[in-house]
Amino acid sequence: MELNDGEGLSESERSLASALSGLATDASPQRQAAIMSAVRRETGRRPSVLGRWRPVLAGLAAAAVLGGTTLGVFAASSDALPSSPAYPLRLGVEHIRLTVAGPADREHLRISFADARISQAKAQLSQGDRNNADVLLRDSRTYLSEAKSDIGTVPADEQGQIQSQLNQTQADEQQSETQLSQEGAQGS
Amino acid sequence: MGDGHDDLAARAKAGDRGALNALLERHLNTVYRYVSVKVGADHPDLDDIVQDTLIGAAGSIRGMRGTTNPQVAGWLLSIARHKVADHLRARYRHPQESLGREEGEMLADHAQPVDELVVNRDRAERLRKALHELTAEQEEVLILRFLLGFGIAEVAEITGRPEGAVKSMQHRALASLQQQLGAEGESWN
Repeated sequence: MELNDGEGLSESERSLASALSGLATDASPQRQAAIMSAVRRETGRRPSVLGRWRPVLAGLAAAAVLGGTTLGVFAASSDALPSSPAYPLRLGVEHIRLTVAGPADREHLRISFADARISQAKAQLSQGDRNNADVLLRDSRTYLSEAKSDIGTVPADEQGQIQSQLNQTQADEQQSETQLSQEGAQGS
Repeated sequence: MGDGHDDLAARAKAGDRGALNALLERHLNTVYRYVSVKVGADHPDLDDIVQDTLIGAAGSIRGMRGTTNPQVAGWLLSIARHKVADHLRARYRHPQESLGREEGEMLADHAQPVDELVVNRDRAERLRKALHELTAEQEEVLILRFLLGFGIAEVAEITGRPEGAVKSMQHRALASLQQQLGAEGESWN
């Protein structure tokens, strides 16, 4: 390891400092990969985009069971905006779909959920609704981050295609985010 | 550490899981080097301690203070310090378990002649012991400066001390180390 601003050290101090730097060991790429894989597995168990809505969802699920809610209601929630009371239901339905999907389908779904939100955010921005656009983009980012983080779990032959979709959607999201901040700066 | 670190750390703190993983990956080797000095590079639980540190950090990311590289590194190293202490306490309670890999296994890892390897290992072990004999503050400054490669200003930011104090502590720590090692410390290389 290079000594940073080692100037001002005497010859013997420099020699000792150099010996000290040899005491530490770098993690090999294999070890780094193994450690990060375990860390990702662990952090993947934490609540994600759904987290803040979990109590609301529990209530809605109970209400749905008790009230015999039809599939039509779930379908109607698929375009719900964050300001709508149906938005937690939308998140819940998405969560269920992600839970039952296989690794590749799950990442396709995440990207498609993110993509739908980006389109909606653009529409909301054009109507001057920054609040909904902001939350839509934030949740979109979360889905994209999750997809990026879990892409390693997808079969190798499908990773390329998913990565390409992911890159495209991320670029789209960043463009919308820039638009949102520019409009925010103009508005302030 | 390249550009975008602060933004990455801010996003990680805000709950972006991808950013969190990327942030931890960036700092993994710093944590690894730190733990390798504290417990020894041949400690069988080295990887586990590093892993526990990063998982612990992920769980308490909202409590992270600051987003600069030294601030995040300092925060991670404070978690690592506790994990190392927990681990050593557990080891102390179960002394029958081996503290290191088997000699033969370790020697087989290196292409150096055996006698040279043993001499180097002894010298490294003496140096490591002498480092641990320093006061906690002196040890911390030397580890941050010379084992993890932080500059004086960064060490000042991590430890919350003025740069002048870091410099004089570094000087005192090196002098004390030299004194402990005797004549050997004068010509270490």
